[in-house]
Amino acid sequence: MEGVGVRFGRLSALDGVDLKLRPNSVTGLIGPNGAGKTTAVNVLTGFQKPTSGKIFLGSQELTGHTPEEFARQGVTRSFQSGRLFSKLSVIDNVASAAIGIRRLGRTKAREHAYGILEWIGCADVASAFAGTLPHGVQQRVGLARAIAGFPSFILLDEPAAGLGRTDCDGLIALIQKIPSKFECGVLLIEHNMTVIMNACSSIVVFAGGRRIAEGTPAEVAHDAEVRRAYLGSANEQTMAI
Amino acid sequence: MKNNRFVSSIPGDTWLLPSALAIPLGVVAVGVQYFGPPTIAVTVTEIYIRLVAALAIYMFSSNTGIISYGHVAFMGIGAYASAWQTCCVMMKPITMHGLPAFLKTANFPVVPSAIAAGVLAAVVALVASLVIMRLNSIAAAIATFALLFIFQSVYGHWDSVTMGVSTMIGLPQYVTPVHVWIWVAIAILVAFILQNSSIGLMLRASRDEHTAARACGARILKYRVIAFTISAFFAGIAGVMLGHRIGTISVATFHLDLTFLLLAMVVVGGLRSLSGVVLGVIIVSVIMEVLRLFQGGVSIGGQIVSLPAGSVQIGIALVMILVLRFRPDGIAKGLEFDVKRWLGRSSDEVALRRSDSGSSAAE
Ligand SMILES: Nc1ncnc2c1ncn2[C@@H]1O[C@H](COP(=O)(O)OP(=O)(O)OP(=O)(O)O)[C@@H](O)[C@H]1O
Ligand SMILES: [Mg+2]
Repeated sequence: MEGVGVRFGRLSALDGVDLKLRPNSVTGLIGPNGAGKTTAVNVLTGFQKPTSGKIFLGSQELTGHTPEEFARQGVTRSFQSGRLFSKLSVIDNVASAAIGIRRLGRTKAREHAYGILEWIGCADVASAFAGTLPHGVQQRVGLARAIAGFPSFILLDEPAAGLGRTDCDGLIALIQKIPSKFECGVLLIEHNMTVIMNACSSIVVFAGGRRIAEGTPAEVAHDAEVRRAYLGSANEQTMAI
Repeated sequence: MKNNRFVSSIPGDTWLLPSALAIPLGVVAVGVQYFGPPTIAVTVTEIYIRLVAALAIYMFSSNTGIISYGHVAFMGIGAYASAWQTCCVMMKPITMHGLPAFLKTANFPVVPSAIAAGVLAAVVALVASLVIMRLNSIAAAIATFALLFIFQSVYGHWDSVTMGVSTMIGLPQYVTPVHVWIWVAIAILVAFILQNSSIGLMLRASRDEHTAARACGARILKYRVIAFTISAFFAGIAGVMLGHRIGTISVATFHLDLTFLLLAMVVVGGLRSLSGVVLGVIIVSVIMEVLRLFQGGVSIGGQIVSLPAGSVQIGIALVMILVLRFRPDGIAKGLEFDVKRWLGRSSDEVALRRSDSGSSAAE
């Protein structure tokens, strides 16, 4: 996206932000609470119309399109709050993305979904109601659903939030494999610095609706402005945690 | 792939479900029509007509999660449309002089007329839903209620076509238990196909999570319009059956009482499964008939026991409230009859199984 601004009344959630996702790699997006990360994902998936600026997929402009069109053009997402279809089975949750986006028939879509569930380690709960699952499994199903829509870019809004240490590591390891396995680019929003430093090939930092830094993990870690904005008065020691 | 039998087991064995629902009803229809007393035949016919109407509401509301308060309007539209085509050819030019010429001077065969009447209801639903289905679910539900009142106003005042609020008499009374059963069977089949189709799945996804369904590329408006239109066709057919069962129609028939009764049936049985709706219609109808009997006065041990007028409505309302309180998903709890297990074990207990898990594999 280029020069994107989003205003909610007086509040400027995004202010002239450029953000570029690279295909076949994991881009990290970090920033303090309220920095505009979720708003950026909403803009990039058509849920939020930008007040200014433009969105491109390759050379094609998608500004002003509906969420359905974004999804069908190959941009899928997960939600910070999960948003699974709680009264559908896990496999139908995942299959619905393939049906809605690629118009696969139900049987084909379920086969496709089952393959992804196996890869993600949730095949054993395929016929359970999504709403009854523990949080960690729901997060994985949300990820599976985003993958199932044959995306060229997947935007993941804090997929590891609220997970224990081992669950988190397992999930992040999977996310790192997405680009090579499914041939798509990934945007990963995550608060844990260690996780994001290890998982991403490049990192973008937001604060107060602006992009304040961009670069490799090492570059970003040493950026003075990032440390000021993101960690307040913290020193480099904290950064390494 | 291992352990994936449910992946491809969608239609096959589960076709047993619509069969298991429709065939016993068919046996009953044949039984009462050819061997039963006429009063029972009338009762069964009325139950089956309500079943078609309740299935129509189910087709739309179970998949979308939007309760429709407006389907009785489509019943009215169907009933009047069929009357225009089949009723009282001698009187029509006078009492309904506003009808187009081809209707005023001729009568048409009843079955094609019924289908045409259903199509008219569906067309009206199609147009209305293009507006209504853009609303969120609560606003959409209220808008369907508004449809009922629009119908009441238009048909209650369009004297030259509907005879206003007067009762239209002389509709051919061709409706028998077996005749309605054919429509019941078709409605069960269509409801089953719809809920197992991609459209049904995407609608149920949007029912649970509207935002996430959009992120999955679901064109929710389009799917809702399709479901509403199909369901209105069957509501129209139910209205046709109702008119031709009694032989008379008036706009008052298609108003709040009937709306309440149908919703009570759907709620008591459970909106989330096909088996639930069928059960709900039968259970509420039986309760209704019993209360009606008592309302008319029953002699028990020489004493005449009779309930005050209005007991039927109060009784149904109480049953509905109790179900909502103690079994909010309805008597069937959103489960379907597990026909396979039932056949396999031939036990008298009919086991129920989850329907929403894709009508399969939930163990
Ligand atoms: N629909 C909305 N209406 C009004 N204000 C909004 C809306 N959505 C977000 N905001 C505001 O925009 C700002 C950015 O919010 P956003 O959700 O993008 O932050 P975030 O970076 O995702 O934060 P977090 O880490 O807490 O998820 C916040 O101040 C938020 O209150
Ligand atoms: Mg956020």
